[in-house]
Amino acid sequence: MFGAFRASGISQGGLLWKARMKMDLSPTQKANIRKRLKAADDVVMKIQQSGVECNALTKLKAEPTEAQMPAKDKYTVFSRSFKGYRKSVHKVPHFTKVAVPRTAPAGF
Amino acid sequence: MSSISRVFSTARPVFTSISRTYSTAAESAVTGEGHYKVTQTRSLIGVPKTTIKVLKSLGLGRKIGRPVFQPHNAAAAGKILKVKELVKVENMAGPIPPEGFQRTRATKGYKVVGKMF
Repeated sequence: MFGAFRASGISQGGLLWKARMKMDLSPTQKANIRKRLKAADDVVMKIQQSGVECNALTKLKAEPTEAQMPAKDKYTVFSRSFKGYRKSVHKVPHFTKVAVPRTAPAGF
Repeated sequence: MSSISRVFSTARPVFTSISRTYSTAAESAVTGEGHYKVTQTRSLIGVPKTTIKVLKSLGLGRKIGRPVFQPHNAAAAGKILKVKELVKVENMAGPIPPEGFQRTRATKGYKVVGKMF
């Protein structure tokens, strides 16, 4: 990892790893991501149905819904520093409560 | 070009406003006066401070599941969309009910019967 440093359970002691080191998500995690995306879509839909117009709604109408998103966009997020320019969405801090971008820059 | 068997389009699809369709049947917009019934579904631990301020300005942030009533206007709509990951909304017909104006606070334990000044 860092030159001659050998990572072991003891040497990494004192460090807290809450996010899994792996990139892949379990089926449960993916199901919950889809559930949360649908819940956010539902809020936007209700505001739309109320007939009120606002700038936030105009911007959100341009974003895809959960049904329109490819799997890659649901479970990964654009990142400059990761290999392949994509990282798993669970590495975004507080990704369950924060609006994660639904589209990546063109080509990524 | 014989060397390329398949050409992949890397262009991202452009999402227009008409493509945002929902599977549930489109309920007609609430005619006449209406309000939002907003319920918080997630805690505000770990949420950015700007979002917490908006949540509290809506009247939320105190108890998950306690509903709050907001009028049908652009200000309330914008606030709700800011916190859409943390709330659940229902469209209700008619004006805001009396419980929307009541303070949900614990009883004081005493009653003021008069004042000296």
